[in-house]
Amino acid sequence: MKNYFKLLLALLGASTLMTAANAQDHSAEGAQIYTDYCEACHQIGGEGYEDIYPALKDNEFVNGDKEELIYLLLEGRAGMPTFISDLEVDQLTTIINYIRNSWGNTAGEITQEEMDAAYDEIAEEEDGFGPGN
Amino acid sequence: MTDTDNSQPSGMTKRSFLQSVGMIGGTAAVMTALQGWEMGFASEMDRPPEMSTDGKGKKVIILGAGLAGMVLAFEMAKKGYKTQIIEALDYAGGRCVSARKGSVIEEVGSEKQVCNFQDGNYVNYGPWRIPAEHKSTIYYCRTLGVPLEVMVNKTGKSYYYYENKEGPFKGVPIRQEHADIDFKGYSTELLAKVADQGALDQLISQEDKEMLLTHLKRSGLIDSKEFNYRANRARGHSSYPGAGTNFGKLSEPYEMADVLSIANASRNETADHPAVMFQAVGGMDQIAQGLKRALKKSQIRYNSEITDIVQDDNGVKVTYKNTKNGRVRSEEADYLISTAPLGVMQKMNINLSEDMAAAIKATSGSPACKIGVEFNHRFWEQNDMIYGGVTSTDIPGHRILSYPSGNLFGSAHGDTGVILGYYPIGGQSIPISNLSMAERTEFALSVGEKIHPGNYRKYFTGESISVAWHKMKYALAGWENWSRRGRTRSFPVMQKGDNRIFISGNIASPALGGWMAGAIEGAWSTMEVIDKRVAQQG
Ligand SMILES: Cc1cc2nc3c(=O)[nH]c(=O)nc-3n(C[C@H](O)[C@H](O)[C@H](O)COP(=O)(O)OP(=O)(O)OC[C@H]3O[C@@H](n4cnc5c(N)ncnc54)[C@H](O)[C@@H]3O)c2cc1C
Ligand code: HEC
Repeated sequence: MKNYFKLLLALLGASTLMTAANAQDHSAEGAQIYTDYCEACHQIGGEGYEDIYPALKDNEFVNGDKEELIYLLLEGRAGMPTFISDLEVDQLTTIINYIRNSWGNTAGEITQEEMDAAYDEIAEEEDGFGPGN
Repeated sequence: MTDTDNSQPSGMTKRSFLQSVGMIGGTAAVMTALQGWEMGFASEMDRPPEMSTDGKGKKVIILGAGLAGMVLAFEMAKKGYKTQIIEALDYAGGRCVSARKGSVIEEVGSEKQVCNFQDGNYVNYGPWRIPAEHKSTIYYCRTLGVPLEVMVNKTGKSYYYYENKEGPFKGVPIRQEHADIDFKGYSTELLAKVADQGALDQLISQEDKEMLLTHLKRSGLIDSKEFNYRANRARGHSSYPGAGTNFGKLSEPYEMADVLSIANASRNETADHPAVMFQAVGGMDQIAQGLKRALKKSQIRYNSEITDIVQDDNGVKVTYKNTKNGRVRSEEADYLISTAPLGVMQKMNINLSEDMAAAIKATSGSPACKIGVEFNHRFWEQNDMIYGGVTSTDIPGHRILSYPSGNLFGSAHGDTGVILGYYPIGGQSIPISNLSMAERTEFALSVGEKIHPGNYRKYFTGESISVAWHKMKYALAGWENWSRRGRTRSFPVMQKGDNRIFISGNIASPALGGWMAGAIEGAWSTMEVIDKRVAQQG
């Protein structure tokens, strides 16, 4: 996964991907993860899209309970995908801290330990069962 | 057309066995038998269940004209239920679609695409392959007269292309038959050697060891004295044999260490992904069209998005909005069955019990992207001897490239065809969906050109069409996954329904998620739930 950005950048030219990055970056890495993995749905600046993809900007859930947010990223919920197998555990921490502290959100940081604990618990439960076609 | 009377299944199916156990031992015996098969509620089915109740004109509104909704309308109408499908889109089939000339794909917040392939060309941007063991899907194709043809899922001639792994094959397309046979050949060599040296004597009898060695030698992969893996006819020729004294030349195996450096695709070759699969002739959407033809026209109301569902002990009232003119209407019924994906269901106002409202949040949507890329020359056939099948890559966001199994040799409609240019699923498909349509095409072309240098761009007609299923308003995912917790805690709540509202469709079949069989058998299992409910409470 980590080569992904390099690859796409090489393919498409850095400009196309970077234009979307948010101006008030909490962290450059967080902004990049947001662009690649969240923005397709939650849109630039965490604005959301109509009633389909919720805005993350000024969002109670994002600014609320840390644990619930961690679990949401790991497990998904209805239309929201899980990211447990597509982002590294430290990237998951980074993206959560990014959305909690961007676009006017000021919810503070989660620690890597908090993420690790939830990650291990859920990874343990996963039994490799999955659909496919 | 709708020949529903079928020959009895040969032998005893699990269902008929269960029925007979039930007759003798009651429900408890059935449950024990089910557990013995490690099955939950629905058994492996090859035809719709027999409903014991007569609908007597009871009205059922079905949300969604996908496969599940149409199966429910079709089967329940036969039992005297008055069924009405309400569908948001302007076509029947939902996710069971194909794109051909004139088809439109419009993702949330993205530019509208209109397919401009040549006549006869299409891409299955939803379902694309059916395994033999999906009897339920094949049942409707057979009884509704939807012709199926072979879908070549695996050919030895297609490639593995890995560029993110160091080694001699980095960035080099390798024929799958070469990598697969070499892996098997070296494994055969090692097994034969350790068996011969007595290293397996603690594990198998002398007699079995002799038989094992006989079979390994007969494989043709190893020489019979030293047991060394060597050039062989399974791996094929580097120079092809012909007439006269041209005996050709067998190709030389790769070095063992080199072969071990590439992951072969055998883990993908499961019973539901065999080498030979099936597809509907002319496009997988023909299965949906077959069901649609079996319904009365008035049974589906199009362009009608359900926004509100209100139930009480006497019935259910549904409010829907005409997506063309915005007009709002409502309709009442005895029951409502939703076949909407759960991500989409969240957007509706429904007075569900707390348990049910929580249960329908327990899945996670799996994103999925596809692209169809059109060519004006079947170079993969004529240059590479590839007839159908899949090339695997390790490029994130790409995953596979699949060659068409229809119009082989160009014999149906000329020297043209559509390659499925990428098919990432899960998180790796999200970055692709954040690209513009032109960027997506460029991504597909740049990877294809690495696998078929000099041809992929050259024969591209300029026409392509792509989809990100998680950005389709009425799907919001390719399919949905149940976590283990979701399967054990929330699924049973969801499945039994909530007073007047039942939930069906692909999500009703956790073990068949992402398959048409899951939608069909999900519908069948809902018929059983409703049958029981009506039998008990009228
Ligand atoms: C990329 C991809 C590849 C696949 N590959 C395969 C394969 O190879 N083999 C296979 O067997 N299966 C495959 N499948 C799975 C198969 O396509 C689905 O399981 C099946 O089509 C789902 O049918 P359904 O009726 O459950 O849901 P849908 O087809 O989603 O039907 C639900 C319907 O409800 C409508 N709807 C939603 N919201 C509303 C509303 N508010 N009001 C009114 N109507 C609404 C929708 O428009 C839709 O028509 C694949 C799916 C995808 C996406
Ligand atoms: C495929 C589209 C999609 C992508 C990609 C996606 N989300 Fe979501 N997300 C959704 C949907 C749909 C919901 C609403 C889920 C529901 O109905 O409960 C959601 C909900 C959320 C919520 C909860 C909001 C609330 O008010 O409850 C958060 C937080 C969130 N997403 C964060 C993220 C982050 C961070 C990423 C990137 C790592 C991401 N999402 C990627 C579709 C997406």
